[in-house]
Amino acid sequence: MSHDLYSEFLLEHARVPQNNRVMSDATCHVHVLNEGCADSLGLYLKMENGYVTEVSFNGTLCALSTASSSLFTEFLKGKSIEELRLLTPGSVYACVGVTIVESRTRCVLLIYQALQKTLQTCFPLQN
Amino acid sequence: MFPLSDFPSVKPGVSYLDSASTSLTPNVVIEVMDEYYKDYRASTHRGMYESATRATNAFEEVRKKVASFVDANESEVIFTSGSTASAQLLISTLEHNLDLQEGDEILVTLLDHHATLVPLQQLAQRKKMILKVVPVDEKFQIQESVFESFLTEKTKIVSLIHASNVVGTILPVKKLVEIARHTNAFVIVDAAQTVGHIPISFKDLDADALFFSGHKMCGPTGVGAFLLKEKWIQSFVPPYGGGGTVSSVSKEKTIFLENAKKFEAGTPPIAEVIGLGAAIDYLQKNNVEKIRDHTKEIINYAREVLRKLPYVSVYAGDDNVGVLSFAIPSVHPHDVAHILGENGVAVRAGFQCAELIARKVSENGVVRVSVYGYTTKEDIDVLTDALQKVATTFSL
Repeated sequence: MSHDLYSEFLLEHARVPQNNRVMSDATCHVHVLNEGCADSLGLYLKMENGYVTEVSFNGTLCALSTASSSLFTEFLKGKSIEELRLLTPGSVYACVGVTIVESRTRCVLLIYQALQKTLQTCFPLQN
Repeated sequence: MFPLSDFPSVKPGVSYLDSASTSLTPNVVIEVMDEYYKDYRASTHRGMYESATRATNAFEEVRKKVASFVDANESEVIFTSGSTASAQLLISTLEHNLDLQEGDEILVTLLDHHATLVPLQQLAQRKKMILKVVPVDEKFQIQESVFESFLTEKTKIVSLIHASNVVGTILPVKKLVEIARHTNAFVIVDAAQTVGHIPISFKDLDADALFFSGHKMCGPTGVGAFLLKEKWIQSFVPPYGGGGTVSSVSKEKTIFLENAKKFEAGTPPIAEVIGLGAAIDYLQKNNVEKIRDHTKEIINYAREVLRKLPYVSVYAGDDNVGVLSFAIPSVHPHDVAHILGENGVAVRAGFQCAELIARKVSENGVVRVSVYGYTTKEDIDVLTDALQKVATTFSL
């Protein structure tokens, strides 16, 4: 993995993020807060027959949060609920493609935190 | 100013511009704490053995030093674990001892730190009081006439931050206290950014209470002092009880001490208090007036060079304690601070625990530069060079 956090690839996703919008007809919508800086991220998911058909995010975010959200939301498209449950922070790191220094993991994983909240809130596991 | 060799954590290649978060610690402070742990580790005010006596004497000696350093009576000095703990203890004490009624008012300033603002806001909610916020002018200063217009006969508590930890403005606290004295309000001064940075006289300011932290003035973390006017020390009942606060305890009742120790429940931060004493010695040796002149010169230089960068917006008060903030409108402050960090510049980004003023100047927060006696103009030059890297990265 590259060590350049502000690579042209990530900066491009920060400047022109994919899926960066409010979705008014989402199946599930959550908000999470980066406790390190008070940035707030909203994640919107539209599901059909147990699969992600549309996904988007919005918020006031740093370049790394924006880029990781852009890349990870692209990655989420078409996944089933079961597949979403199997994702780990490593899935986000793989999308981002650079080594993340410890002080910025919260930024990059904010979108993952939002996905976890989505699963707990809207799609809880049945006992 | 401060010899850099006094500070073991000053490393080549790092420009430390985050002293408003916490200052660096000189060897003399580390050494006295080390000596306590190695040579006379014991509790204070209790043991009859030699090391306990030595610890008690060293601890109480610092009470005298603090009193002398901020021109207060020794009997007015209460040790705590820092400014936030002081604020909580003080506000809790006020809740237990003042006649606070629904509709009474608490006055804070837009510059206030969360350490005071949050517990006062909570107090207002519990007591159904009204919290009023005095605004600042375009130079981040509190205008005396505006402050006066916020005072009413219902004002019971006034909180004044001596200097802003975001924009560095030093408030005319003496004058503001004088104005507040037209009411019966209890006046609190948060001096976390000023003690050890500018000369201070608790007597001259005439506030009812004032607090500060050791770690922002070359001392260790985990210690602070809170000064409470003698008349309040005598009359206030402490909100928390515990070991060291009482003169007698029976099944029916507790009789508290009549001195500052009634507010110091439990084993105090002994090593840290001793370290605070060494920090005061260090600052006095270097002369606080000279420290103030030095930080003023450095922060003015920083303001001047940053203002020349077209993509930077600078926020700094004129009469300044050594703190300024800036924002680059199109770049998140954490991205700026990260790139500065990668280039050897230590700054803090975000809302600086003073969200009211930080959001007023920049909705997404700011990057803060804060200086002290060990900061040099070269550190500021390293900052401006590193900002060029931010500009290049984000195509500014």
